[in-house]
Amino acid sequence: MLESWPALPLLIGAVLVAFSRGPVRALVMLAAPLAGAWGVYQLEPGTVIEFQMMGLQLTPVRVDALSILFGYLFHLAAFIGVIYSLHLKDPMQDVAALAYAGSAVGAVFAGDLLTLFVFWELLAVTSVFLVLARRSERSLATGMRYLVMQVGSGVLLLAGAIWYASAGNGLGFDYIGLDAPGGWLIFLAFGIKAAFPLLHGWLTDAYPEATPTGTVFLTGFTTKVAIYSLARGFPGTELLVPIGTLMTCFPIFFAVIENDLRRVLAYSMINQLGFMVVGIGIGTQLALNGAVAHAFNDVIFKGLLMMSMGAVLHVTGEMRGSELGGLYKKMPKTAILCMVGAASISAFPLFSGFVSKSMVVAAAIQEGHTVVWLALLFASAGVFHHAGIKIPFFAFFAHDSRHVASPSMPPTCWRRCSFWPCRRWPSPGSSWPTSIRRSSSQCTWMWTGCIAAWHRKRCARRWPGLPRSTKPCARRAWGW
Amino acid sequence: MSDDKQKTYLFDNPRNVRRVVVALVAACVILAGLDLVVHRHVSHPWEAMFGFYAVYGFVACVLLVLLAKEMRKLLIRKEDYYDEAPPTDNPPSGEDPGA
Repeated sequence: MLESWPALPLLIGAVLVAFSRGPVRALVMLAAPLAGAWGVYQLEPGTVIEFQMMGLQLTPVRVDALSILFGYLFHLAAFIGVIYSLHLKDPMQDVAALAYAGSAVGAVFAGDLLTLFVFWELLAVTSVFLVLARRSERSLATGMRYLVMQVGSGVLLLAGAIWYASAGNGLGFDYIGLDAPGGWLIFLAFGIKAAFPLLHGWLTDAYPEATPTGTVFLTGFTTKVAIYSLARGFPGTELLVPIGTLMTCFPIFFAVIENDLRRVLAYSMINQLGFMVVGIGIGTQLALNGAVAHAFNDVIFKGLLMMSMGAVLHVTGEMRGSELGGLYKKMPKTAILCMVGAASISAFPLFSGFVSKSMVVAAAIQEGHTVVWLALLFASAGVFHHAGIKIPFFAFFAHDSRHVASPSMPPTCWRRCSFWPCRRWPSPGSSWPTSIRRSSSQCTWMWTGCIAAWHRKRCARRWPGLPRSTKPCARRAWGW
Repeated sequence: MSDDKQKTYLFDNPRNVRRVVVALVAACVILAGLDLVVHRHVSHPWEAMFGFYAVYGFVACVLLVLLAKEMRKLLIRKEDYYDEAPPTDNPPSGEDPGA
């Protein structure tokens, strides 16, 4: 029974990662989402795993088209996130990331509210470590605030589920609706995780404070589980239309005046969630498909934007738009990839966002929601303004910041693409040899002679200023 | 290092910036012009108006900035408002702070 549980590979992977190091850890991290996706592929729609526990009928696995789609999405997000974070040597983040992804998969395959609650809380407990991993006073305070909101959401869900079940509805997680006993509590629990207006503070507070890699994982799971849950429990709920419309419109004003670029993306995320919530609220086939498609796309393009900003933070140690600029000169590939994400979130034709966002907007017109349609158009223009233009412009263009004038450094994206072993490029004030020496241990397993030879030529050509008079071990690490 | 200072990048040349601006304006004009030629599958009568999306998008962006500027007066706070350090001065974790 358990062997067909889709969350199992990721959760086992998280345990194995805790006890492995070096190449084994990297292999486990890459293999876990692949094995999980293979498991989802093997699942037949309609499969249900049930058992009785303490007189309760539990359904840990319920497979249908909606859960399969989100299952694939979460494994894809986990795999991309793992590749992005392979350079880390931080078991806490690795374990948290895989367990977090596993919790999300467990939640979308949950067929009853109790199982959903367990994974709902696991999502909170695992994801908070991605914020705490920043290991600063600021991240500790943020993490605690985040945890309070997330656990609070779980408590509301549990209370609602008990009320719902005690009224004779059973624990099955299907259409709930606001009129059901406990429906409002469950709705509120979903609303906190979906960042409804006035319940959204945790998102813009915590996501920009997480580690560069942690934010990429955070972007993919919590809010999307909430969207899945709303689509499952409250499709066609009229109230979701004004709530979603508000979610699309109010964050864009804050995003325009925000200086921290990852916080701009966090506001933009609420804006995108708004489109999904509107789609679920309208509840027609086109709207629901649009909402789910947009959730899928959002994980990809918001993940890409968060990755590009994470790369900027990783290289410069800075995320304030006022202190960045001109980085296209040092990180051209990151700049191009960021603009791909920006075009997609702005619903530029031929990019993914264009299709899914248009589905929701078209559904709004078809159902006669003229004001909602105009608001969604306004919000689309707004997201183009702050995520499409502001993010790439302030980070990569505008004026040349001090980071452009710093000693030459290879673009982060290049290092990632080429499995660059150095853990952290030295900041302008630090010395080269220390960083290089520390990278040597990773080199022993990642370097092949072929790549090293190619890399040596490339480095010599592109960064002639690299120090050569370092210790022999450091030179070996570089392949010099 | 010195190599970087000497190197001229794409947008260091004002002519290239001007070319991008001209290309974008040309794309806008062409797309607006296509409104007259291309058949659009409208679902709402306003969509059939010439240049509706272009004008609406432009007005929306301008309004957004103007309103946000007013909001800034009300909401703006110093970075250390909560007695915390600036947001991104910490070294990214999982990396080597001492590196």
